[in-house]
Amino acid sequence: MIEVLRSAVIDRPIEQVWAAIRDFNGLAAWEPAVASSHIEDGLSSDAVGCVRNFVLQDGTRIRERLLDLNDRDHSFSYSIIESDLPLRDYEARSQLLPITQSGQTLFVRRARFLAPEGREQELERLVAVDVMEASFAGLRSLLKQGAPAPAPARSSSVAIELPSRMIRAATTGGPEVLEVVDGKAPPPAATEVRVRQTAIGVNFIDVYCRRGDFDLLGPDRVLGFEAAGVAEAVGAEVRHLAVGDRIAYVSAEAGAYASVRTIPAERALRIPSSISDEQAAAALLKGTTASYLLNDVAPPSDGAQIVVLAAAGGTGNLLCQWAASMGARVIGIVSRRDKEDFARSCGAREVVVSTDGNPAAAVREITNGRGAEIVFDAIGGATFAQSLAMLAPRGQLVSYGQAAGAVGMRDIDALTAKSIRLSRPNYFDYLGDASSFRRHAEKLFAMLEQGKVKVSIDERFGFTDARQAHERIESRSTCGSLVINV
Amino acid sequence: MPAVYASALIPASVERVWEVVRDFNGLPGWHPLVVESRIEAAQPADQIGCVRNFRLQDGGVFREQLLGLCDRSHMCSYSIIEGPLPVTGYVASMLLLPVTDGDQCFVEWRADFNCPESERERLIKSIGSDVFDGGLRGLQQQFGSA
Repeated sequence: MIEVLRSAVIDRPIEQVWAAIRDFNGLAAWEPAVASSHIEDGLSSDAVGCVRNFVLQDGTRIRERLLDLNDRDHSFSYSIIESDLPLRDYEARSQLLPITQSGQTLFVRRARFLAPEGREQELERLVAVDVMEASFAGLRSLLKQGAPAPAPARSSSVAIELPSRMIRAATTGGPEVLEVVDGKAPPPAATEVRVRQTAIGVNFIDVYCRRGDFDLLGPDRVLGFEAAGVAEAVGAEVRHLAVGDRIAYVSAEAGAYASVRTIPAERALRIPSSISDEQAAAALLKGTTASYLLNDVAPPSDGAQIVVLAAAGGTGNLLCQWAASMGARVIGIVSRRDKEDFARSCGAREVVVSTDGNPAAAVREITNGRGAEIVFDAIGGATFAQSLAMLAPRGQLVSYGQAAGAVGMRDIDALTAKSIRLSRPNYFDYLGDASSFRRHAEKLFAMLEQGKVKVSIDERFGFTDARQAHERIESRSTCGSLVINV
Repeated sequence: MPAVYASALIPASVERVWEVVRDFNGLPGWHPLVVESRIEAAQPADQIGCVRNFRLQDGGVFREQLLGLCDRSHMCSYSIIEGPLPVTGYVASMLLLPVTDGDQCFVEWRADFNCPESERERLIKSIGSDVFDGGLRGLQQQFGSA
């Protein structure tokens, strides 16, 4: 059995240090070796028995179970239950002790484990130096003690390009045109941040770009607009982010399908500790879409009857939850019967299965012949006329997507019969400027933290399985979001 | 049950500090309040159950029994079996831990005891500052720190 003990004096009172290390999911904030972490199964990070699932900077995955947590002793212990590293029977304990004479705190970290023969020294060094000793420096800097002076380069690697794997659409076409290529992430300019990404959100806009519906790809043809990860290097003028922060972003330019990416820092914000990287990547673009649609484009009045098409989809399910929390009575339209329960769980009072007959007639029946006040339609071409037919007089059609193809030429005289207002909003006209984006993103994080909106991740894909992710989103079979893990 | 806790950093390795602290008969060598000490019944000072009989500057005599001594975890514990303090069930322990980040030693000294409520504050204060903190400062001086 190998035993490791490392300890250091932290120049802060014990309660301050404890507040910084107590969160079993917060290790990415002060353990430099850790890139990102989330707690499995939606448990609280101080629930004894919970499992933290984290990724080291080099991509190594580790799952650890919290064995005990003691606020009186300022200690917790945990064991590795699954790891890419050959650390067997690994148990570790972290404890703080007050140094009463000086008001400082002693931080003691211990671990015991078995290692394969011949690798003992290497693994002992990894645990002692790369993890434990590095964490003391990380914790001191988190507590702003002896933090390095702000310099243009706030990361050792800031001046160099980093290799990045990327997923691009070789040409326009179906999911088969997606391919993984090697690229570079340049060092961040003064207002940029370089992100070591852990989770990438899959959105219909990625499909539109791949198909060629939208001409939004850069010369490298790399897809994607949102991701989450760790700030690896931060430009000199960036004030709201620091190296090591867990961050998420929605970028105005495509390129998020990458392992490392450099982006304008104003499009990124820190992820609250109760939200995992995956959840942030699954919800940021879709949730801020729900936010601007419901707050800026078509705010429903209290008790208003509204229709959400694709109610089980990535954006649709968030729209349903958010609208319901605002007091709207939501009618969800789903394409398949097996999505009905999910749509109801997202706050839809009534659910209409579109393939069962005439959904517009069903909506009129539910609304006692009057029709709905707002219809949110992300399907596009095929559903446009049907969505108009669902509306009450003076109702509003919000056509915000085109999953089934462009809306195309329409006769606007058809709006006259019911004085319909038509909105055809696009995300970047509402969230193109950084302050609007961050305002909506913070609203979303607040909704998630308060539990008013929950993120459902339907399926996770490996980095080389982007093609399957696109096949899945286009199959119209999803309930919730799809995420690509890096 | 009242409890007292004091801790400090000593500028020396755990091993060197332990050599000094391990000697259950060694208080006069480093504790400023203790003037002389002996182990009763001619037992060795690391015999579990042995009793140290020591006298303070003010003349007070204590008898304390060694309850535990661990060279691996650098810990010793003892109880007061006789002395001038109005305490019962007094059990104290001393623990050393290495500070690997900068070769130092962390020493914590703690005690739990029972006493009349009216004496509680006075005892906590005098054990905490005179006995423990004063002793820790004595140890620091042994190793060349102020």
